[in-house]
Amino acid sequence: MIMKAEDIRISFRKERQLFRRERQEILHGVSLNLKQGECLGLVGESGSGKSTLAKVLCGLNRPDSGSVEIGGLSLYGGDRQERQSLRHEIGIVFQEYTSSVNPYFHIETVIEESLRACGKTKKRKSEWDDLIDSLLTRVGLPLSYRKKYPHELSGGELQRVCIARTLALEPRIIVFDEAVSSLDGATQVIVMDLLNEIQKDLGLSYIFITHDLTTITYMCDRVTFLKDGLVVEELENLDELKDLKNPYARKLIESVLCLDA
Amino acid sequence: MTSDNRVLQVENLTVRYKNRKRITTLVDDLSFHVDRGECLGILGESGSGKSMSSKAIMGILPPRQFDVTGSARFHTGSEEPTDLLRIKKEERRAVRGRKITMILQNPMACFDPLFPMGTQMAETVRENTETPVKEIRGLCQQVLKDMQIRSPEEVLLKYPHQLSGGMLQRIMIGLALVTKPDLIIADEPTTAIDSITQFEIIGELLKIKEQGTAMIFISHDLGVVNRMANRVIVMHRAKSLQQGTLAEIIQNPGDEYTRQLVNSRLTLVDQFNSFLREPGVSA
Repeated sequence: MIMKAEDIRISFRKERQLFRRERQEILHGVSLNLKQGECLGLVGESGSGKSTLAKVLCGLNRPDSGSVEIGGLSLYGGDRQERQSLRHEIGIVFQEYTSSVNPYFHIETVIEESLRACGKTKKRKSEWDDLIDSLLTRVGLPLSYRKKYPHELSGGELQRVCIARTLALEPRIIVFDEAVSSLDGATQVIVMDLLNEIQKDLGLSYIFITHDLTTITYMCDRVTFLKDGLVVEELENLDELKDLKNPYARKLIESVLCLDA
Repeated sequence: MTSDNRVLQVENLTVRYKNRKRITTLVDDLSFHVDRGECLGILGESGSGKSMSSKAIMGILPPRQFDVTGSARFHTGSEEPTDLLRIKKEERRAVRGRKITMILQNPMACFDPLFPMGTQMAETVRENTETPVKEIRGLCQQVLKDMQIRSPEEVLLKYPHQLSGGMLQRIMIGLALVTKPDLIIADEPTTAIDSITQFEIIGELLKIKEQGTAMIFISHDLGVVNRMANRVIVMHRAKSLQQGTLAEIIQNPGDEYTRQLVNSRLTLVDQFNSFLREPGVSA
């Protein structure tokens, strides 16, 4: 078990009113387990708390109660040093590739930025150059892209840069928050193939968040259905998709538009 | 199909973007037609010129930067067809929003965040129809009811940020229908929303299609286009690659890009079906 999240609850402040502070609970006690080398799918409609959960799992949002453990160490407990070191173990790729990259940076600076932000230092100038070269090759981009700006790249290419940036920190777990949802059909499959390949080569564990069930069946080993901040159904095996018990999960399955030509 | 049924006939539509330094062709020599009660799907990746062609037809591209050539003849009733690319501003205003309406991709950005929904809906209705002032509010509620939105009275008082993306998209579809247009252009209406809401919205759009309104449906999702469209155009790098029914395109994709598009979707769907259906039963 590489990651264990137990009974996570998180709430946010509602609309501000004078002398009144009400909070709205978004996640009502969600528990998750992630095994080494597997891909766990998280499915749910918009507003079900998928992205909030992703942020909690990455250490970006402290939950009100509950714990997240990575390899036995607590992500939100312990001292500062320990928390910092654990945050390198987990990376995240967001849906909005355009807004998650600084438009003033070259692609190489985008990747360097993540290294610098995590407190890594270089001994020689060429040290990071080699790393960036190997990362770009890893995600299937030509080395000439180093000096390009984000607006010169297409959506699929920019999402690859985001993946390279996450890989730079050598995480053991990567969370994909709707990472392929805004790419178009053909590019989606190309990026997912790339992700599968990287997972196999580096032995990573993925948490794959999406609302599209076809991508789940393509990528994941296990699926968890979320609704209104609660886990409504957990599948240990994708073959169980045939006989779902929860009506909401069934509705999600039925709303997939297949090709019946 | 006879030309009596024709709603829109587009010929040699070309859109160029003029910059100080260079000219980029965004849509290259596109021709198609839409008949009454028919839905034309336009498929293509991002940046292939799908949205640009529809915007050019609607005449919402700033003429200083964009150079639009070709013709788009719009047939209304028994009158002579009007060329949408050449009519005067005032005439275009009479067509746009009344005879042709548009449903845009991002419902969150399409409404003014500073005004409640009721005010915005009433404004659209007042500008584009001859509804008496006293009946406008009732009509707005009716639109919401038709779109299966619960407690319409409350929704009219809410601001856009208080409603979900799916609800806003449904309101936009409702507003697009209020003028009883001859043609609806839907520009990726389901891209920003989750699959359950997408399913419901497709249901609403199918109902509209059954009522005999012509529709142009732009999307990059083969599954959605398959459900909606009678005929499909595949666009890639500003050019139209193939036209025909989706079944034809799936069976013999004419070029590399279309093949890739079809194959990628089929791989996904096959995988999905293999888990969902009993072995031995074909999809």
